Amino acid sequence: MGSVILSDSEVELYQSDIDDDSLRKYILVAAMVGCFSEAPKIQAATYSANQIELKLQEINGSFDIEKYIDISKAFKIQNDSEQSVEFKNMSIISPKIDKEFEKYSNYIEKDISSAKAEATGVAKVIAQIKFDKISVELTPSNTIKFTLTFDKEKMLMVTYPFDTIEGVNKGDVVFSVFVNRKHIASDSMNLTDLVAGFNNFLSV
Amino acid sequence: MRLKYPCCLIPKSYYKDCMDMNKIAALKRPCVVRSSSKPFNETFNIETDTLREDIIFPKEIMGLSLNLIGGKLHLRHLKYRAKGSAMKEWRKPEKTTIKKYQNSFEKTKIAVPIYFYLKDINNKPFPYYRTKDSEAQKLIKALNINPPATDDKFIFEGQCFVKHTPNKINYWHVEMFLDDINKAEITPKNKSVWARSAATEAYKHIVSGNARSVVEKYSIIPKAEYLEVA
Repeated sequence: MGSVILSDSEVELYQSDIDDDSLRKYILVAAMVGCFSEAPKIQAATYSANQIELKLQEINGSFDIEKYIDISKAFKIQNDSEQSVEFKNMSIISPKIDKEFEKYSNYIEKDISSAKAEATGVAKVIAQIKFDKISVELTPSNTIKFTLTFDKEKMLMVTYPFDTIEGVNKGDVVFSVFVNRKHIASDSMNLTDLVAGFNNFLSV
Repeated sequence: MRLKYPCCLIPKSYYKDCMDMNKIAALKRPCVVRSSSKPFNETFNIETDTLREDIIFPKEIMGLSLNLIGGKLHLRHLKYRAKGSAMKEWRKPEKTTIKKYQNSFEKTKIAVPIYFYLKDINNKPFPYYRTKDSEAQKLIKALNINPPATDDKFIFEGQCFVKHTPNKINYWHVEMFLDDINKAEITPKNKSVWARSAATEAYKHIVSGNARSVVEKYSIIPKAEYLEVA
């Protein structure tokens, strides 16, 4: 199984000398965005604010690769280790989301199934962070909060509001960073940017 | 059946009217504790040892009830809660007896301790946001300050602190308070947007990261801090 994340705004034709494995993934992505009539086997597809994520089964061997090199430069293929982190993390987060929605869905002031779909979309982006431990909670403020810990020192709290709140752009998250439980930063921003920035912070 | 109340918690006439929390904060590891009537796994996120947000709401932190441990109050006492007239402030040299407040306390089945080290929450600054209106401009002029700002808001600095507030049946009762930049208390009665923002920011900066399900050690409160004549 592979995973591909792409920007849905920059599809363009492009020919490349990339290796076959990546190429197959590109083609599967392109198939998903409608470049091909013969869509290969697609196990699952989910949509979040600015991204489309595809979870794919291996392509059928008879698929004509040469015919379809029609993809976006903006496609970001994750390497295998990143993929395994994301999938492993989602296997940890998903049951926690289910449990919270079973127990605390009374906190949510919107359609529960769409809130759960939004929460899962947010979780899939957060799953790209290599955390040690994570907790998930629905809050009485109509939000879902993810708390991630790292090396027993660093902690990241990410809160996604299901409705717009003052001072936070629609679709953005509110986050706080703690080191040794001391608060060092808070702000609101786009989740994808936050995840990229936080991964950089962890790698320093 | 009549409930028994731990008399060691009751204020004594020979106690100090009010303990100096700054002096107590100067001890090695002074600790305050709040109790939750929900089970442990509904009070804390077990995986990350963080407090669930539905246990203490941001708007509750103005006047949040806590207890100082390390004096006469022990964890086993957290099940006892003052209510009604027993919640009123105790002032020296008033003598109180439990007989008078027999119907003014309750014993909860569950009392999960939520610990805070005093140093983590006392005299701690937090930012809050205030719209650039005429009131905010007046305040800036009066204080002669030049606060940072966003496009439409000033960023002021408030202060979170803990004050000793003994009640009729619990000398070890303390509360959390928030002051604005002008050292004026922000109370729950203040319904303005900026006051709500202050509570939310104080919660985010001070409460959420510092609530603990366990503490290794906490300081014993020296008698000199609470006895009138040590």
